Amino acid sequence: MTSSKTIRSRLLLIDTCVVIEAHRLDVWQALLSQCQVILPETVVGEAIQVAREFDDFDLRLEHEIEEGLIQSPSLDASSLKIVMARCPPFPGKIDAGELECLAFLLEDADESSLICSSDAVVFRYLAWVQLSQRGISLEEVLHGIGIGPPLEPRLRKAFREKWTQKGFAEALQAGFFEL
Amino acid sequence: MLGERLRFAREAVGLRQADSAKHLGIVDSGICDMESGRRDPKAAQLAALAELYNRPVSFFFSEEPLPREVVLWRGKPDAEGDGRRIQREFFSLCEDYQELEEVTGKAAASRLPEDSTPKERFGYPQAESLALRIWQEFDLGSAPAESLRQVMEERYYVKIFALSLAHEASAASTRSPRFGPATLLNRDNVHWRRNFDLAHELFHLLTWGTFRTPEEESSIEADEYEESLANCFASRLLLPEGPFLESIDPFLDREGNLSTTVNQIHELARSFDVSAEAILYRCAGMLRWHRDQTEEAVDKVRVSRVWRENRVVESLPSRYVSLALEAYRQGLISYRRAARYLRKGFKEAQDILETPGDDIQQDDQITIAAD
Repeated sequence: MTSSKTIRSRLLLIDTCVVIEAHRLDVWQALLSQCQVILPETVVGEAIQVAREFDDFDLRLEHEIEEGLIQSPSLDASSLKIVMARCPPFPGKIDAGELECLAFLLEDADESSLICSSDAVVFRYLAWVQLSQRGISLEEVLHGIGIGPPLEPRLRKAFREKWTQKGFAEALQAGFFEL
Repeated sequence: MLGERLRFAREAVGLRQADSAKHLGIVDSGICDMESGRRDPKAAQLAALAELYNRPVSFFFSEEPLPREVVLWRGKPDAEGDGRRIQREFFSLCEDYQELEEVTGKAAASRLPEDSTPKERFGYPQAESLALRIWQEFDLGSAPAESLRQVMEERYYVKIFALSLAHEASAASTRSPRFGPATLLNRDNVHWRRNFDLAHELFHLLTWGTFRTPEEESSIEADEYEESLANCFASRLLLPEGPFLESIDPFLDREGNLSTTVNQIHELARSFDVSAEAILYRCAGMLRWHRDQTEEAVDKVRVSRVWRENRVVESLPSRYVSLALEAYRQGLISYRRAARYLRKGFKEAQDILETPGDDIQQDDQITIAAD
């Protein structure tokens, strides 16, 4: 399990699904207060759009960005092309918000960022490009800051590990890299 | 390259640069700059445009040549209104279907035959014999409308969708080198009308190479003659001579004169899953009935208020939905991509995607110990 110190010291890229789930679980404010959260502009747009479907939580991302609680970088579209080019089997299978998260991750020269996702395809992608150590589940993040609410399977560590292993095995079988 | 694809995608949905600029909240010239390559859009802008233009983000970076999208409409919807949007949604569904097949490893080339009769030699006898050949080859039995859609989808891999179309449009077809033959039906039509539309569109798919030319525009309508050939084909296919004659025999005298009631015509229509009008026109063609009397009878059954239960059709084929679920559960596509494939919002998709058992894989072991 990732340690509390590690989680607090790293930049946490959160994808749209996890932003929504964290609000529904009422752990969003805890995340903001204890982690350095990064939401690329596309994720912010997607989350605002998705939140309109729910009436059981209040999404205030724009306000939180203004207050400096969230960093919201805006990448050039060409950076998405790099994500796709880096791993040919994946274009078209990952949505735009996750693509921008992955683009930020790939551009992050000092490797300080982690991506928190609930999508199997993201963990598989990270395994293919040999960056699986940069993926993290919401369960691991929350554990790192001392919270442990009951979570759906796709938000748990076991889910991340399962799909990371699967991605690794696939890439190896496809000859994408060698051990 | 990116700019060219942005322009192509915008024009395909019939939007002006000003419309796209308004959507992004930028000045009109911003779109012009992006399309001419003077300015690189931001990732978030590209994502917003991709959604507006109904394309995946990957389309804008593809190095494939720009696709040529030709749709043959039966009653073309207003091009300036919803027409282009509907046409794009039809193509988008076909492309999504193809992607789902590919991502799950279940892509199969369509086996739908193509008729090779040259256009100048194609007339009513050819339409009739094509209907007979297809009826036999597809093994459609005595009530072809009942199984036609299933056979076309499952045996010949034709992609069939049903959307709410504009009032005047009843169906559309395309035969694409990328995703094969596909048909769009109007889900607002009653099911017996849709059955006829499907058979009518099948004719266009079978004769695509005969009647379509490479110079045609992207959105077209067949001429009156081709449409009447398609109707002739549909009538013969859905009401095959042998079984049909057998059903109407009790109502005919030795000279082929008909004597029956409005109710009985509707009964026959129910048994073949077609309209009552289709029954009368088929009889008229086969038995060479008097034209005026036929039209009179058609008017009578048309205005008669005989109740008939309509079967509602789903927009997406069940195989398509099943492929989307499989792709998501196998971790092959993201959650939001899966919701997008299913044409559902985030919350609504949850009920479908997050059902119990979603972590069970098809190759998971089952072991049961004996007592």
